[in-house]
This record gives sequence, structure tokens and C-alpha cells, in this order.
Amino acid sequence: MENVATSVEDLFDRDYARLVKALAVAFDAESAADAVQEAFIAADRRWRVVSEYDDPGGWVRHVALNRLLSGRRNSRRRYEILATIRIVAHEDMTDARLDLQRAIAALPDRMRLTVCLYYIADLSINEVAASLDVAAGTVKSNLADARQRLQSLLEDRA
Amino acid sequence: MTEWDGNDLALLAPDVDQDRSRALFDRRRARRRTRRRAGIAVLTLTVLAIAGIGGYVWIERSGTVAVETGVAYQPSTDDADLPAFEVLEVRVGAEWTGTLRAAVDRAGLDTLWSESGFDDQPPDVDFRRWVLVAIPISDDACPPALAGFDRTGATLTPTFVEPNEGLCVQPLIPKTFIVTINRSTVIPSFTLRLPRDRSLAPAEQLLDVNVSGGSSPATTDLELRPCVYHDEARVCLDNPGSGGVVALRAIGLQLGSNLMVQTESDESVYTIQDEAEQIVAFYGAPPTGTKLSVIVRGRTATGKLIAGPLRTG
Repeated sequence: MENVATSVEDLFDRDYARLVKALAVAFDAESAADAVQEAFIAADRRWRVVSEYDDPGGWVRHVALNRLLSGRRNSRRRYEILATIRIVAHEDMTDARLDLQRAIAALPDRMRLTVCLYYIADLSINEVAASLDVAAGTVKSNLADARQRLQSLLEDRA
Repeated sequence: MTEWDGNDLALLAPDVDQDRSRALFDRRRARRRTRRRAGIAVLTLTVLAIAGIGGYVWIERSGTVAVETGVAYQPSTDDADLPAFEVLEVRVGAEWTGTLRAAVDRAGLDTLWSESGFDDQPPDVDFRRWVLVAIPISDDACPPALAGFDRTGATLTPTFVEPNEGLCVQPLIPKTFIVTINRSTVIPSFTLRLPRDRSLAPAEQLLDVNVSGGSSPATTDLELRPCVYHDEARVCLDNPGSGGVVALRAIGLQLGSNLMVQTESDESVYTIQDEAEQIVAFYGAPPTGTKLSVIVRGRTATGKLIAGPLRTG
């Protein structure tokens, strides 16, 4: 990521929305917002340590992904979380968007995450690799596979 | 749509209200810090309470009460109500059920162990002196420590304290605290409460535990060990006016202990001789349901405590 965050507030302002958006497409919006909120709270709690890391944002992504992949969610804050996001309205979902949504949903989890982090969160290949604990080469091949599959799926639906 | 364009993915993403998100984040941080300060305050008070009772009361073998320097026994302070406990272990990695459980005997422990999904042998617990509880928490990467239990009436609520910043580097793994609570401090029954908490428990749980049945041994050959908080135990006699029998072991005592008894109703202090095989403890005609706090200090006592007339000390 471009600039270095000097505080957890800076990091939040810089990364929160795009990370939520990326994970919302990969999973669902509510879980994504909940997980990213939790991750930032965790970062705030130990900011003295996290801030010393080369990439504090990477640590936050890691924690958020762990939480998402473990399926944990805090239902207590559900309404608070829902108030911070607005899911794409049904009437705004064109056929093309629906096709794309179905195509994305058809991808394997890791591949879908890779695509979303790369294209929506605008992470670099190396940042995606670090977030998913895989090699950069794996990210590249996943992206190539995903493009091919998505192209194929969209053509089938056309 | 037939052409794949990565930029189109953004069209599927929800709108994120940055201001509201940030406000929520700030609120949660403030709440967490408030809780943290409260936890530190509780811990500090606990430490101070322990230190304050460093100047202690002991009962001489003659049965009289002597007070050493410092703060003497405070019969009605909160710390006298705190249950003695011991964290046996904090288990991670097993399938997490998230359910509060308790065992008051070996069979119950086997069931607890099985239902909790633990596939190893349960710990060896002396259920004559302890009850065991399993407290699950859905950890949030900053593993807390069990600082103690708050007591409200017969309800015990575990108090968790998070470590200092900088120590919170653990992975997100739910944990189960395996804790023994001194039986004498929770008889005849208690309710274990796990309150709903942002990071520890998704919903409040209440577990009623009946401690009175099936554990007290008939003999008193236990090794003396301070098993109650500050050497204090609390025993409740169901019907004090008519007398009754309380096995010393049920309140964590041992053959040869010296006892001081103080009624809760008027805080009168009674001492109990230690020579007899049975301690006869009449206490006139106190209101039915009067609770007695029993303080142990020393090494000798008899085998049973029988309700009866007490002699004032």
C-alpha cells in the first residue's frame, strides 16, 4: 500500500472501506464489515506492536480474514454494522451485474478472495500473497485462472 | 456481459459509510478502554484486599482471638464472599461448543469432558473439596486471564482481564477455561453466569449448579491445605435453630483446625474449642437461615461441625 499509516485512525481511514468492499464481494457485506471492524479493534488494542510491523495493514487484513474464514460473527453488533453499509439495491442489479455476481460466486473461495483483494481492495500481488499466506506466484496463477474461468462463465451466460 | 473486466467487480461491492464506520469504531474503542480500566481497577482492588489482610487474625490454641498488626478480619467485606478457585488449564484447539458446564463429581466430570469434545483424560480433581467448571470464551486474539469471580447472591460471574497491550499477538482461537472452585465457598448451590460480551461470549449463559449432593466424605483424613480464600470458609446451615451436621471437609476444613464463627445477623463472634471430636455449635435462636462465616487459622480441629449452642468468645 502506498503511504505509511502513523496511527490506527489513519490506517482505518485509508484501508477500512476498500477492505470491507473487497471482502463483501468475496463473502457477504455484513460479515465483512464485522470482521474488518474486529480487526481494527484488535489493531488498536496492540497498536504499539502492530505499528512496528512493516505492513500494519497486512496484519489487519490477516486478522479480518482469519475471522471471516473461521465463520465467527458478533450478532450483538449486527444492527450497528448494518447501519454502516448499503448493499447494492435490487433494482440496481442489472443482468450484467447478476451474471458477474453469479460468476464470482462460482469461483473457489481462495480464488474469489484473490480476485477481490486484487481488483477491489487494490492490493498488489505481494500484498495479496501475504494476506492469504501464499506465494506471489500462486496469486498470479490464481488470478490468471480466475480471469479464464470468469470469462468462460460469462460467455456461457451470454 | 461477455467481457471480463476486473473493474466491474467494484459494481458488486456495497457502499460503505466511512463516517458511520469510523464512529462505530471510535465508540467500540471507547467502550473497550472503559472495560479495560474497570478490569484493572478490579484487579488492583483485589491485590489491595489481599495485601490488607496481610495483618491477620489468628486464633490461639486456647480459643481466644489475637490480632496481629494491620487490618484484622473484616467479617462482612466483599472479599469474604469471593470463592476460592484455581485455573487448572486453558484448553485450545478442541471443538468449541461455547457452553458453560460444571461437574460436582467424577461422573459429572467424565460427562463434561466428553460433551466438551476433549479426547484426553480429564484431570484428577478432589471433588470432596472442589467443583469444576468449564468456561468457554470466543477469544478475540487478546487472550484474557481469569482474574476471579464476582459474587452477587449465589451468582458467580467470572472476571476476565486482558493482558497489557503488546502481549496480544495470539491467533483467533476460542478457549475453554477449566477451573476448580472451592466447594466450601459455593455450597449449597450457585449459579454460574457468563455475561454476554463483545469478544468473549456471544450470548449470556446461566448455569445452576447444585453442590450439596454426593461429595462429602464420611471421614476427615485430608491433608491440611489452605483451600479457601484467606483461610475463610462460609457454611450455610439450612435450619440453624434446630441444629444440623456439617462435615468439616465439606467446608474445606480438616481434623484439628481451629475455628472462629461469626454470625452474619449481628456479627457476634464465637470461638470453638478444638479438643473435642465433634465441635458443638449451638447458637441460641438466631433467625432461620442465618449464615455463618467460619474462619480457619491453625492446624487442629475435629471431624465434624454440629449445629448447636455456641459459646460466646
